[in-house]
Amino acid sequence: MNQVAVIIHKSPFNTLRNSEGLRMAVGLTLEEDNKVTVIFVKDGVYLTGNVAPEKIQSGIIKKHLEALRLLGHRLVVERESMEERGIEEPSVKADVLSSAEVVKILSEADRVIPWQ
Amino acid sequence: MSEKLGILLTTSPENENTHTVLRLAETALAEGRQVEIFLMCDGVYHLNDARLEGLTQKGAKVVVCAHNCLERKVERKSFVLWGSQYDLAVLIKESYRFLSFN
Repeated sequence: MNQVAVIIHKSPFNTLRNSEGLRMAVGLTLEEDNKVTVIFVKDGVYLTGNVAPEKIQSGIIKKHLEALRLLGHRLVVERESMEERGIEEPSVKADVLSSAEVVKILSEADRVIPWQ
Repeated sequence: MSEKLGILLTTSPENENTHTVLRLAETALAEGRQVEIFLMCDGVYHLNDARLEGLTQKGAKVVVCAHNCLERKVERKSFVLWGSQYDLAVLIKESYRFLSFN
């Protein structure tokens, strides 16, 4: 199994690139040996909140998140980033992990794609 | 079969990433490695960059996300493979080293 970690750290409201990063993450699942984990840190945690960036033409988010989850891949939200922004829990099904646990995932991944 | 260096490039040609990718790719090719570059997002504008075509003449393989090209009205070029995210998924699995320039 090829462990691939994709890191999203930008707000969904000022760029279309988050949507593209998630589209890429879904695309990576087309190779069955790729096991994808999308990690949301810093302002990227807003993507897992109850937001609708597509209403301001900021790209599709939820459809990609649901696709990843339904395909059996993993969504991870960094706890510290959530706490800094006053978010209690993600509105999508995701694992809330500490920074140390996120670092462990990254160190064990075969590929890491930091999505800017 | 030599080892393959995989590169993802998503930034436009004026970004400093372009220079880095070109030099890395040239060095890897000179060492006898395979090089495959996947272009997506604004990275597809490299289809209009002669330096990238030069790289393919040295043996690099370049694949673009056709969806992003169509979005940006970037015309198809003969030196690239008109691909999809599946090509990136395979590249990530097959390459011995994978570098991401976002």
